[in-house]
Amino acid sequence: MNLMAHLLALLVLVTGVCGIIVLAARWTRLLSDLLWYFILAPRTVSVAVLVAMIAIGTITSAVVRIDLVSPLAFSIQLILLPFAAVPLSDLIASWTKAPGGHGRKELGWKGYLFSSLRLAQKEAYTAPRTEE
Amino acid sequence: MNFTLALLAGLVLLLPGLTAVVSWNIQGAAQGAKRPELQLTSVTALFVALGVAIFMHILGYGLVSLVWAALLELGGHIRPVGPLIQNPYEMALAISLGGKTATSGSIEAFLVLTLFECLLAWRLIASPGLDLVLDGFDVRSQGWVYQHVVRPLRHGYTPIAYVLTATPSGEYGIGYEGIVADIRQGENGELKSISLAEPQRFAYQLVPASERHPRRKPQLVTHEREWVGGVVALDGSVIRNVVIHTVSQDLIKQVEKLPVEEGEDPSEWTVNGANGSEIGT
Repeated sequence: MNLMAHLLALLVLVTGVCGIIVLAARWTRLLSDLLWYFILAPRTVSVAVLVAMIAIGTITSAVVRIDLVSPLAFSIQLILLPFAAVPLSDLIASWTKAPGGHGRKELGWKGYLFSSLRLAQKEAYTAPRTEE
Repeated sequence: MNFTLALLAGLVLLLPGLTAVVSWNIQGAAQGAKRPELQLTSVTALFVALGVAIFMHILGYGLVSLVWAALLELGGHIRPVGPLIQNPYEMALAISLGGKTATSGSIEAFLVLTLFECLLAWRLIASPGLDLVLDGFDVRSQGWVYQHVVRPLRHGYTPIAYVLTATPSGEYGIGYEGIVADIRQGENGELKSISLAEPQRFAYQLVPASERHPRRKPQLVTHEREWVGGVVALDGSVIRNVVIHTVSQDLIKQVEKLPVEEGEDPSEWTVNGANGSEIGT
């Protein structure tokens, strides 16, 4: 029994550490994407961040009963923000572009901002031309 | 703090910036056209490394201060599992000023935080966002290779090179035509080598103007072509002339779908609408 308890503790520890590493890597990637999103589409991403912060703040204060303006609330918002704001930015951008530009049907909505801007750059590009 | 420890601490502090430079160099190596790496001794690399390191540490200090305040607040809601370790940044500052001795927990937290900052610096450079922002800017100073190989490749064109090698004797020489697989440039942007994927090889002849018509231009005549297959790597010293045509990948797909009729040689097909540029070496 003692051995089983130790094995279980080890399993929880290893799983926890691996989970934290995976989550930290994912969070970092999303945060870096969000920072570039701010430069590429500042209005859309600002709206998405604002909406995501209000939503996360409201949900956390309702569920865990903490002050809405406190270091703990800001920390939770900061941790959850990239997970919420990046897809939300993509979704808002794909909705606004859908009527005329490249919509979700062509590009999907995940990574929409990057893929739509890349497509726009591709379409605007003409290869160098000289005499033949 | 003795010199060895100070050097190690300095390198650890610079690590996020160095990671950004390494990430930049690795991104450049994956472009199919390579120049020598951005050396750490260059002013640009030092500026980038220091700038990114400072930015990351400011961000890290802000995050740590927020999380430490949050943990203190959390201690009021739930039963804490143990005493909170000292803020790693404040600990590092205290050690550097010779004020305090470090606790193992704070050192571990500082190292983990530095690794996290390195990861963020790597991701910021490797993100497609940087690529999108810098589109159209030859930030790696690749010159003609950027305009005629790297950028067309990124935008759905295939660069096809037509390379004439130096004539071994007299007026005859060997040429190759194929898709550019890899280009290497030297310190000053000169062509070091070019590799062509599944190229065609042909003999060429420089026909001088005849004595009867001295005002006519010398002509370049090509002879029979054959598929070589694989990759042909040509050293810069044997290359006389390179012409790059950028052909739309959609056009190549259309041509590949065309059926080959009996007795017809696909190698003789020509693609109209190709954009080209000639670069003498």
